[in-house]
Amino acid sequence: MKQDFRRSMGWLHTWAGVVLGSILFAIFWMGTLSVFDCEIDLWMKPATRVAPAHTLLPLERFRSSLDEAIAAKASFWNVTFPSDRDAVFHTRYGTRKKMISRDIDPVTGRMLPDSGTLGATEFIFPFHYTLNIELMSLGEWIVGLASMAMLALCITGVIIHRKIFVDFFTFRPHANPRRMLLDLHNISGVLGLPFHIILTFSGLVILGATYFPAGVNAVYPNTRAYFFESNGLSFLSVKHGKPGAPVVSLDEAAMRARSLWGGDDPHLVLVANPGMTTSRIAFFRGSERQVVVDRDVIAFDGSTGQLISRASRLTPIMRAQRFLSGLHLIEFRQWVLRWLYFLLGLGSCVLIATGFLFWLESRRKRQGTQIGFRLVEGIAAGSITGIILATLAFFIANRLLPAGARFCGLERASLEVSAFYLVWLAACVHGWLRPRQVWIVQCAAIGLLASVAVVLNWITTGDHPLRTFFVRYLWPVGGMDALLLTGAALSFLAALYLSRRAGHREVAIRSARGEAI
Amino acid sequence: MVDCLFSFGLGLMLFVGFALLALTQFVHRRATGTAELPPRRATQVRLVAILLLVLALVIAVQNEGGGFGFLLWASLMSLTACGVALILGYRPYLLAPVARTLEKDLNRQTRL
Repeated sequence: MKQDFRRSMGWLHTWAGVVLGSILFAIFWMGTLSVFDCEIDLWMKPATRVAPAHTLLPLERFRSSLDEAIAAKASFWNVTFPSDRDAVFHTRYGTRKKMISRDIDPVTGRMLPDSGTLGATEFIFPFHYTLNIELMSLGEWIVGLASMAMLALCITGVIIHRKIFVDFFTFRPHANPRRMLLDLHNISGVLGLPFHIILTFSGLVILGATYFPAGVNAVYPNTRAYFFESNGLSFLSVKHGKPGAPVVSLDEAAMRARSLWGGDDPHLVLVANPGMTTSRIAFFRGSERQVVVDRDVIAFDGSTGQLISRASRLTPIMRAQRFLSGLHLIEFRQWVLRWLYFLLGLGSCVLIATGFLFWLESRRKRQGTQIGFRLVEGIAAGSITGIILATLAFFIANRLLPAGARFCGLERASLEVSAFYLVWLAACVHGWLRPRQVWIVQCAAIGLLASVAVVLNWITTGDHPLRTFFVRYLWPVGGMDALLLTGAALSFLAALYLSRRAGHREVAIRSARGEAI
Repeated sequence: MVDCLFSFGLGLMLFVGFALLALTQFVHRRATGTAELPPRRATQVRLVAILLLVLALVIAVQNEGGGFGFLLWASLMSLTACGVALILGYRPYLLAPVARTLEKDLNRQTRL
């Protein structure tokens, strides 16, 4: 009975991993990169590489942008304040047709040139939880399914691990490749288990209203009402109003918000229905000093400046939910934890990749020529080394495309995304067509593309690694270059190791044939 | 900078805790070229190791608060345990002095 249970768990672990492994790797890879989304943005948007301001600009400096939003009949307008990870202001407004975003110099208040990229905050981070599939929120549902599978994989993995305590620290790098892969899979799985479980579970909690709407539907008339109340946005439930109403001084309203918070600064200022009689000015407090995401929103009437609402204190259940969201979203200011998340995220990627590779190595002799095996090998290559290559292509396209580039009706930002998908597809096809060489070639290609990205950053911006390490506000750029170079070195080493191993194997086969003759 | 030093100290504490736990296992003692510990001694070392891990949690929570402290401790636990496993895999002799220290104490106790 016990053996049957373990066997059935083993079956579930194997097939859930093989079927959803590609999606899980994409989610974890993009999530790991999202840990440094602002820093990647700084690398991809050279115009925003400016020194931080010592004092904040008055909000009235953005009045012309607000007037522009009113003239465009925007439904909202907002300003994001600089932080220690992002030195510039960002203004944004949305009309029915499009969203206009601008980066503002924190010292002069001048508009910075448009970088023509989605960067990490608008491509890599959304990809992490939507896979860029917006049709009927299908992407979110697939991510939810994969996350549930990940939890099942963690639990079944523990059940089928026969000697979990005996092999707790066991890693045999000099054993045969299959053994080594299993050891690596085990230590990255078991030792990183708290991270895998907590991050997967908190991800499900963040999108809980989508996956488990029954609880929300039982209490609220619709999801929108739940969203407004739980986020302190009840002031948004107003009718459109009539146009022509002025918006009161933003600085005076900001001063009142600061005094209500006891001196804390806002992270974001939102004007809803700008220019309408029902306009609202809302201030969202920054929550960088705590794990719990508690924005404490204060809203004023836009045309009279009268205080309308302040978010109520979080209930214990909501506080628990916000703690879990907070530890997943890492909006807090804790550099050590940010790096630890990054390293552990890479550990999760290693876990998924070694799972795939172990499956392939275990079946290579028996099923190596079967179409199903080759299909999985192609998908595995595409989803492991392929997505890394695609990400590097995204970075390289960012440095190579000229400003304002257009091709086949696609704008610059869309061209970068197209480069990502084309390279990803090519990596999958390559994996299917050239299974013997795929890992060697793609590892070498990763090394090459990562080095090229660093060189291109130097050529196109003049920010070479030596300069970025000596200028404080360029450290994020230097950090990204350093990580790219480290990744390149590791990839070249992996390619070298794999090609040597393939060479030894070929020599052994030839000598065996020679002996037989 | 202070944050980094604190985290480094905490990480070191957890690393020592996990190294002690690993060095009570026969396979890792063999890898470090030391003899197996008697069961009683192994239990004592494991208790000390667990105490170190718990103490690290207390210090982290006291210094960084409940939320950050717990996250820092949990993340460092995974990372330092991986560090111990990788060192035992690639360069086990680096932990040999620690493994021998456990034996030395044992020899002294036996003499007494």
